[in-house]
Amino acid sequence: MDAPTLLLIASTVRFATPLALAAMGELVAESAGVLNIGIEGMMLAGALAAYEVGVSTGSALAAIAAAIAAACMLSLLFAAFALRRQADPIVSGTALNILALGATGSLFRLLHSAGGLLARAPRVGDVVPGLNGFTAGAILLLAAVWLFLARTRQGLALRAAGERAEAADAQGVPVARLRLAATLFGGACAGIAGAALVLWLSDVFVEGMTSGRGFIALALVLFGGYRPLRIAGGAILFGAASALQFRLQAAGSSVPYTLLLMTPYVLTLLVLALFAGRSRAPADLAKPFRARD
Amino acid sequence: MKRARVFAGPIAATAVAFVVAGVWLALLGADPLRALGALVGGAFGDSLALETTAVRAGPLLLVGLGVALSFRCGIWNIGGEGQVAVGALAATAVATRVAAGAPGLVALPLALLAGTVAGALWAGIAGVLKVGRGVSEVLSTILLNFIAALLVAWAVHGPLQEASGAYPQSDALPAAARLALLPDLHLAHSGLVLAVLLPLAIWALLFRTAAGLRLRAVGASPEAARYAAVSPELETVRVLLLSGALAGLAGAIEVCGVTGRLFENLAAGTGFTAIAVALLARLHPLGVLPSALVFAALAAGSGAMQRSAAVPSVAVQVIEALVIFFSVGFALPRRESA
Amino acid sequence: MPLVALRDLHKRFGATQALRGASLELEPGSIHALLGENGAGKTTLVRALYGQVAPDSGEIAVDGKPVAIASPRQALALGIALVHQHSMLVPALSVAENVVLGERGSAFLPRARLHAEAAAVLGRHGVAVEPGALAESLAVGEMQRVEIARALARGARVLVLDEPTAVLAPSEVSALLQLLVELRARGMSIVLISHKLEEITAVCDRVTVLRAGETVASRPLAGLDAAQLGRLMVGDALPPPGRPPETEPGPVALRLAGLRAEGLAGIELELRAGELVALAGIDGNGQRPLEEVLAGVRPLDAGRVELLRPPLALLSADRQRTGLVLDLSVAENLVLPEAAHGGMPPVFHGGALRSAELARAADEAIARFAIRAAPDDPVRTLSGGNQQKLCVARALRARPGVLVAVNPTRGLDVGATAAVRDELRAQARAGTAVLVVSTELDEVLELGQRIAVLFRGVLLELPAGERSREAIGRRMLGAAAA
Repeated sequence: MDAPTLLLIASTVRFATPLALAAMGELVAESAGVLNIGIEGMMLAGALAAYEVGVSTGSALAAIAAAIAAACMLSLLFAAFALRRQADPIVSGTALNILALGATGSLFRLLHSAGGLLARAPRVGDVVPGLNGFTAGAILLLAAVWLFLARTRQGLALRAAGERAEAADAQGVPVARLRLAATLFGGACAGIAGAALVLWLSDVFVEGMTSGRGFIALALVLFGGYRPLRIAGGAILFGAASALQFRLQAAGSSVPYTLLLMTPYVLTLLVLALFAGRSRAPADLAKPFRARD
Repeated sequence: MKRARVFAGPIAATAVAFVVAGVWLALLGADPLRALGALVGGAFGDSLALETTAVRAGPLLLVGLGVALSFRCGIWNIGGEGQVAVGALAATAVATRVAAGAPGLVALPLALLAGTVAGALWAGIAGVLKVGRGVSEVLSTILLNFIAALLVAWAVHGPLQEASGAYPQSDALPAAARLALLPDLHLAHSGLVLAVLLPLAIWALLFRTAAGLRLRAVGASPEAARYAAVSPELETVRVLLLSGALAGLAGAIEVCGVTGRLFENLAAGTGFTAIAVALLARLHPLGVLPSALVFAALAAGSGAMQRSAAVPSVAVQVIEALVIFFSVGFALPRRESA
Repeated sequence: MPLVALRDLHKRFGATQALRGASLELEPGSIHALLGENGAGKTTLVRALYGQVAPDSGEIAVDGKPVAIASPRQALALGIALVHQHSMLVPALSVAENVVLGERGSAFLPRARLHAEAAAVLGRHGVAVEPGALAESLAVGEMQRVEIARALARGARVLVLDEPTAVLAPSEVSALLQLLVELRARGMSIVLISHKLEEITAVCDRVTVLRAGETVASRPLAGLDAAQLGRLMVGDALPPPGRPPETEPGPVALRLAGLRAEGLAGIELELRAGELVALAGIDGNGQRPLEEVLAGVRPLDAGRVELLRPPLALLSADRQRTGLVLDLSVAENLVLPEAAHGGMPPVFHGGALRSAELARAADEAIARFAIRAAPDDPVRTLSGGNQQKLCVARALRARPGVLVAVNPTRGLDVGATAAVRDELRAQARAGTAVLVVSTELDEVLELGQRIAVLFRGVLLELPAGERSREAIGRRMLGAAAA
């Protein structure tokens, strides 16, 4: 394999990893019946937290922990409204995204009001030559999520809560608790994905840097038909599209770069148009559940 | 008495949101009371401030109407941002290229119409995808937002860029395509008249026509509507076209009445704020007017808040989101069916 | 000391007082009937026992000790199991997964262990079902067997069955009752909820009667006959069973020719004006596809629906999901079908709604059908009976030539049931072609001048001389002529 191809593959994996991380988390949440469109905001919050804590402590590990914490806090907020008060999840998720955009933007500006050059965040390197820590994590996550959902008792209970919450409840499954845990897990994964943006793909924070990755992750769950391996395949597809698009830009293509930048979004729309109608979501997805009358 | 209770929720939600925001600002080291004072002054302090607020309320009202309409029909149109953008783009294209030399009687209506149609079609894409391919409109409208922003970026760097090529913006719109200012005012343009009349029209549509009954039925229960020979698919596309048209019109008015030319991030954030506007208004067409004023005041006052209390204007978005959360949690009636 | 005692329970849902002093005492080794008409509070009472409803006041005691049952988990831990009226299996999961769901055990659950555990449970209780099959592929009777086996496997000492025979053919009912008798002999305490008096007198040894949320009687069954039970249930003598109307059928109004779709395998039927034809059948044999085809929401793969006397009005089986828009008002629901076509006078004029005409139309319908509601009330707040009457009012506004009613009295109390059935007979006498599709055998016999049975998507005509429950029951299970 020649150098440009190797570079393309590396680039693909780099773009695919955060998508896969976020999508796996959302898969668990949706399997439990929770539709969280706020993962875009959670990813952004994770990115900011990772950047600030990473820069001030110099520790990538602390940065990742901070990212998870920030995203989980937002998940709790989402859960408080969408699960506990049974507010509409679309509205709650949208509100969360608006909140995250505003909060991260204003926090970032406040913290760096003095101006000047931005410090670099610590980098997460390869665990094995060629395999970045985040990618390794994504692969482990993929295996763990599959194993959990398909081959454990709790995973079965979680899937039942997403397919038919009242039936699961009638069998003694703690639906509310499972949905909350699934939401937090989804948020944590989105947070880690955000951390990957500042600790690997880039090394600074920029306002709104997630640029719709959270929504692409949502589309990936649909595209993959709620199957972990297919979702990972979708992430790679998108990673490749992004990598190619950058390559074209760098090669001085005649297509204006603004149009090239549209590629991931147009591709997502295409993929949704082809596959969304065919994928079968958990039957009780986004339906509020009231345990006791 | 029932009337009063209807207002209690939104008022409480706004109040609580402000309190929470104040606490958060205090934690960040800013002075919340000073910030609030600057905010109110910047929004209502003098006649210029009032005009600024009114002008900002215009697009929020139009887009908010569209959002309220579509949410009420069970269609999550999150694409206000993109629909406003393509509306502005189409209006600019028509005003500066297609109808460049035309007289005011032709250029202005044409530009506004182009914006309206563009917004409708942009939302219509999501409608067709939903009805034809089962694609969630939440995802498609959001993705279309990103694409629309890039389209505008491409246009102002490319075909629509000003003749001098100095900045990524369009030429100034010819005077024939500009909205006249209201008599004796400096900022408020005649487009605001339209913005004030439309809520009534939409209310009448929703509650006094067969079309409105169909829309509300589909929003409450698509299955039952289908059994009553109403087509949820048709109503979905119709409501997306209408709400997109409103947003596109808002974009066109913004270009023709306020900015006078097209550039990136024109009216950015309007689409999202409009969601907050619609929710605070509890999805009621008549409530969108006061709700839009609240958020316009926030935006108008944010500049003053930044100057005198050193609070970044982006903080306003936090207040917006808080208002949504509290409206949603405590004021908004929840739809029972999926 | 009774095994389980519920004393003086009260429960309010919004404006409805569902329970106002309901009590129930259960002994081991007994089949206890919980009797009451629709809306009396039977389901609410047992859901309180199962931890799904939180009573406003009252006491629950198990083994003599007061307990607060806050969730099904706690109920199961106390040995109380409930088999709900509508199947509580998760349709998209396999039978094995459904059986194992909620059971404690090892965290790790490979396929082999899953199937072994499920097979053990199913085998022990003689349920011959493929563990790997998806729950949604099972027949309703099979689903019920799985749920009962599951409940027994969880160590239940008290087994509550909520209207279990509503979805069974007559022979399956006998088999179930036989099973209950065996379980009683093993010491199980069984609660059988039913409004079917013959079943109760067949196997139960005690009966508690609920009326309007209150226990009005609780005593051994010995010495009570069906008529006395009926009187306890309703507070008055039960109305005598009705009879099909006597009419002279006219020309053909509706012809179904070779209807094929998913769930329909070739339906042939001719319905004449002034005729009342009833289609019997166990739920899941084509009722829903047929309804959807006639409603125009399901396309046909083959065949024709010839409507020779339009319009066709449909009373949907599920009045809350497809029959009415719950969040709209009574008046708005009444005229919704007219709004579908751009609005017809007098209520609509050129697309615009005329409030005065709307109010008048609503008042007329409310008066004529005795609907206890105001025109602006959200339909959600109406009782089941009033909702159904509104559906009837709406259907009749179109002055239909053909009226199709699917399960028209499901969930209605005795009074509303009689009113709806009377209206259907009246329509037939007035010359409308009426088709009733019902899973209630009694209803089919009471209404149908002609009867046919839906089985696996085809119609099996019942010869005129064979109007008996046995004859219909045989065909419900597919057996052809005797």
